[in-house]
Formats: sequence, structure tokens, C-alpha cells
Amino acid sequence: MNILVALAAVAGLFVVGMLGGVLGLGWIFGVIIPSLALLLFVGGMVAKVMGWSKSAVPFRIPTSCGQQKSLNWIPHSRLENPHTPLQAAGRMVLEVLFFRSLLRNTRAELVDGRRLVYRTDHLLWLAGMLMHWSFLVIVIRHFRLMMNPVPGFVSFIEATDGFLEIGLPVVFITTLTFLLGVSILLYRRLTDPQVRYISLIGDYFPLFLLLGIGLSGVWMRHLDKVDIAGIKELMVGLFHFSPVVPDGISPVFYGHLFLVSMLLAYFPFSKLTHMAGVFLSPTRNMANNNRAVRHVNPWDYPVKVHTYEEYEDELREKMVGAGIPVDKPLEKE
Amino acid sequence: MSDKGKIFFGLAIFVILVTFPFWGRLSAGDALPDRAELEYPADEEACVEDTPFMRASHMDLLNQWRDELVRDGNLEEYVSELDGRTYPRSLTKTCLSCHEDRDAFCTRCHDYADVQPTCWECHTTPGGGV
Ligand code: HEC
Ligand code: HEC
Ligand code: HEC
Ligand code: HEM
Repeated sequence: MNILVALAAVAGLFVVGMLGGVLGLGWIFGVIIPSLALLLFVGGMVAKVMGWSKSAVPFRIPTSCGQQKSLNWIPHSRLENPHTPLQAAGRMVLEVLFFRSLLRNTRAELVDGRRLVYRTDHLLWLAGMLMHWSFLVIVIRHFRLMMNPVPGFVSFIEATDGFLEIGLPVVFITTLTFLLGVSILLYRRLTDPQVRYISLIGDYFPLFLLLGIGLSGVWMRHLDKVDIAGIKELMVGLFHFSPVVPDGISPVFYGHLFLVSMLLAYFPFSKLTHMAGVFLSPTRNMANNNRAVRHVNPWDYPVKVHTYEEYEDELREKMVGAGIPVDKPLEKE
Repeated sequence: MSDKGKIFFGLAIFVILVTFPFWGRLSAGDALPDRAELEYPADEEACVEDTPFMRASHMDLLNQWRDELVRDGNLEEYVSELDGRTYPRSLTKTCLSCHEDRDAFCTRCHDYADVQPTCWECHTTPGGGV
């Protein structure tokens, strides 16, 4: 059910985008919606992270998998159990660039129907790496459609990515690895019973969305060609605040662009915010130096107190009148 | 204790990176046209096929010609579906007979879209363009 809803949503969005193209609504689907989506993406992410930044820094949680810094002759595992901010930064870099914690992914299986066995499962790591890195390269390559002149590093990445020179236009390696990565991630969600049991619409939707974006891109590049020069005019106009909508751009492009706009708009409000969240994971970004550095409780603000002396000063007359003993006698006039 | 400073620093980097295409404009200045200015053949009305098809799919046409001529040995001329005119299946002899100045046509658009066809490493250009 979750799967079908997510699939139908993505297919429906793609059809909406295509219809926009067919009906000639280039201004709405090529200019207004993408601009709003980009605003929502940047604004939404900033707002989200600003909200997070208001929370107090927690006490360091040493969930680590290596030897803590100790006596000099005990080897210290610097990356697994960092002691200084620099070492913690090292752990972060490896986490963000290489998803190191996914290498610890395990999977439980019943062997012979009764023996429960846990084994490491590197498929998730591999597919994650394929998908994310290819995504990054594809987005950088797409700058050629948005910037004039095209920066040198974009052309360089394009040339490198297409160095196999298969087909005309050439097939990029990352196009294939991106589709492969997303497909493996989807396959895992569909076939692993434990994962499938906990999967929600919000888990399937981004996967189908990425698959839809990738397939519509391949469609435009390799199956039914589109007017790249016209598309570039549209995008360059958008980024130069002087939008133009050239005629004759294929509806498939509007479908592709609409799915991308939906991805951008959906990003800050979904699990995809892990892009920013990973930087703020307390178990990853804090050094395990509880014994060396004092942690000042951030909500230990100066409490307003009312001492007994003040209380007595305020009520002395009434207390004396009621016969209650006081520390300081009433002053005589 | 609060990490606001570090977090805002990170956010600033994020915003600068995702708005990168906007910054390119600033560094490039205003001199560059937002579209490729092409020089069209003066004495011809139409291309091999209709213009929207040529804009989007000229590389498919060339690829098809190359396969038909080189691999299938088909030496007959290509018949246009647009107006029935016939053309030899040839990159230099056909395309560049009308689009004489390759630099002011093919290359200008390819530079705009950042495409680098490798064809000219073997095929020649009349007048010796680069
Ligand atoms: C209106 C702009 C435009 C003009 C004019 C133009 N091209 Fe292209 N050409 C393109 C674009 C854009 C691509 C890349 C399409 C893609 O990436 O999907 C391309 C791709 C190609 C390719 C495939 C190369 C590759 O690696 O993808 C060949 C070959 C080619 N053009 C030949 C020519 C020739 C020859 C001429 C001149 C007679 C010409 N083109 C004029 C826009 C143009
Ligand atoms: C008979 C002369 C002639 C030949 C041969 C010819 N073209 Fe053209 N081509 C033209 C003319 C004229 C136009 C402009 C059509 C218009 O103004 O609508 C044009 C337009 C184009 C365009 C669209 C440019 C734009 O406006 O964006 C492309 C791309 C193109 N030609 C590529 C080619 C390629 C590739 C070949 C070889 C397969 C070729 N042409 C062969 C005359 C020719
Ligand atoms: C490695 C060198 C080489 C490269 C690179 C190359 N070609 Fe060719 N091409 C040839 C040779 C050799 C022939 C055969 C010529 C003949 O038989 O007359 C040919 C023939 C052709 C023909 C038919 C004959 C003619 O006169 O044009 C077409 C069309 C063609 N190539 C298109 C292309 C296109 C488009 C590209 C770029 C994507 C390209 N070629 C890149 C070597 C090359
Ligand atoms: C989330 C961002 C995006 C992703 C993941 C994505 C993905 C893809 C993929 C996988 C392809 C296949 C060919 C290739 O790898 O280059 C492609 C092609 C294409 N995309 Fe995107 N895309 C994105 C955003 C955009 C945007 C914003 C535009 C608007 C300009 C766009 C326009 C195109 C066009 C015109 C093609 C055809 C390229 C060609 O024929 O060379 N894409 N896209």
C-alpha cells in the first residue's frame, strides 16, 4: 500500500509536469514553480538548522567503538574515539564523505529455520555511496545548463565522466551508477522483510522520486532528444533574474524539472534533512573528553532566590504580631 | 554552552554553495549574451529536416548517417522528410556546405551548451576552422 501510494504520487507529479509542458504553461512550470521550490529549499533548510541551533549542546555521549585516550602505553583509537576537536572533525569528515557508520550495518537472518545469525551487510553502504556520489557529480554536471560561461571544473568533470565515449551523446558513468544505486536501495526496501516492515510512504517516495528524475533525464538525453540550447536559455534567464521561456521545449523536460522542484520543496520537511542533520549528530561530532573538559550545564542559569532574611524583613511586623519568633527584633521608633 | 557560531558558519557555506549559479553571474560580468548568437546560411531557407528537429536531434541524424554509410555501405543520398530534397550522408560535405563557418554556428552553440564533439579530430572543415 505504502509502495503504491508513493509510486502513484511520483507518477502523478511527473504527469502534472508533462501536462504543464503540453499546455504551454512554461512560465508556471519553468519559472515560477522552480523559483519557489528553490526558495523553499534554501529557506526551509536554514530555518530548520536555525531551530536546531537553539537547543543546548548536550553532555558528550561517548558511544564509541574504540579505545578511549588513556595511559600513554595503551594505543588510543583516534578516529573511533576522538579526544580532541580535530580528531572529532576527522571522524565527521569520514562519516560525511564515506558513510563510515554504514559499514557497521548488520542483518539478522534465520539459518536452517531456527538459528538466528547476524552478519555484516555492506550492500546498503555500497548502494548509498553509489547513489550519493553519482548524485553529486550529476548535479555539478548540470551546471552546464545553468551557467554561462560554463566553469572549467564542470567541463572537466563532464569530460572525465564521459571518457568511455560510448554512444552519441556519450553515456556518463554516473548516470548508470546513480540509477544502479537507487535501484539497489529500492530493491533492499522491497525484499528485506525487516526493512519493509518499518518502511513508510516517506521512505519510498524519495526513492521513486529520484528514480523518476533519473529515468526522465535518461529519456531526454538518450531516447527522445530535447532542445538543450532552449533549456539553457530558460535556466540561465532564471539565474540572471531575467526569465525567458523559449518555445518548443519538450514536455518531458517539464516533467523532469517538476519532479526536481518537488524534490527541492520536499527536502527540508522530510527525512532528507539528514543532509544537514548528520553534521549535528552528537554521537559523531563530539569528542569523548568528559574526564578532561568540564561540561557546563547550559540551562544552569542564575536562579532568582528569596532568602529567609529577605522573607523576614518583608513580614517581620506581622510575625511579631502573631507571636512567631524572629531572628532580628523589631526596631523601636 | 551553545554552538551557534559554528552552526551559522556551516549554514553560510551551505547557502553559498547551493546558490553557486547565481554567483557565476557576478564573476562573469554583464558582457555575455544569455543565448548563443548563430550565423545562419544566407541563401538557404530550410535545414535538412525541420528546425525544431534539427535543434534537438541533429546528432541522431549524423549518427544514423554514419551508421548507414560506413557500416551498411548505403551510398544513396538521404531524402529529406521535410521537402524531399536529397543530401549525401556526409558531415563535412552536407552540413558544412550550408553552415560554412563552423565556428560561428556549430561551435558557438556547442560552447554555449558545453558540448565537445570529437568528430573534428578526424573530419575536416572547409577553410580550416579549429
Ligand atoms: C542550437 C544549438 C546547436 C547547434 C547550432 C549545433 N549543435 Fe550540435 N549539439 C548541440 C547540443 C546541445 C548537443 C548535446 C546534446 C546533449 O547533450 O544531449 C549537440 C551535440 C552534437 C553532437 C554529438 C556530440 C556529443 O558528444 O554529444 C554532434 C556530433 C553535433 N552536435 C554536431 C553538430 C554539427 C556538425 C553542427 C553544425 C552543423 C551542430 N552540431 C550545430 C547543439 C547544437
Ligand atoms: C541546405 C542547407 C543546409 C544544410 C545541408 C544543413 N543545414 Fe542546418 N540549417 C540550415 C538553415 C537555413 C537553417 C535555419 C533554419 C531556420 O531558420 O529555421 C538551419 C538550422 C540548423 C539548426 C538549428 C539552429 C537553431 O536555430 O537553433 C541546426 C542544429 C542545424 N541546422 C544543423 C545542421 C546539421 C547538423 C546539418 C548536417 C546534417 C545541417 N544543419 C545541414 C541549412 C542547412
Ligand atoms: C577516429 C576518427 C573519426 C572520428 C573521431 C569520427 N569519424 Fe566519422 N568517419 C571516420 C571515417 C574514417 C569515416 C569513413 C569515411 C569514408 O568511408 O568515406 C567516417 C565517416 C563518417 C560519416 C559519413 C561519411 C562522411 O563523409 O561524413 C559521417 C556522417 C560521420 N563519419 C560522422 C561522424 C560524427 C558525427 C562524428 C563525431 C561524433 C565522427 N564521425 C567522428 C572517422 C572518424
Ligand atoms: C536533483 C537534481 C537533478 C538530478 C538528480 C537530475 C538527474 C538527471 C539525470 C540522471 C540525467 C541523465 C543524463 C545525465 O546524467 O546527465 C539528466 C538529464 C537532464 N537533466 Fe537533470 N537532474 C536534476 C536536475 C535538473 C535540473 C534543475 C534541470 C534544469 C535545467 C535538469 C535538466 C536536464 C536535462 C535538460 C537533461 C538532458 C541532458 C542532456 O541531454 O545532455 N535537470 N538529469
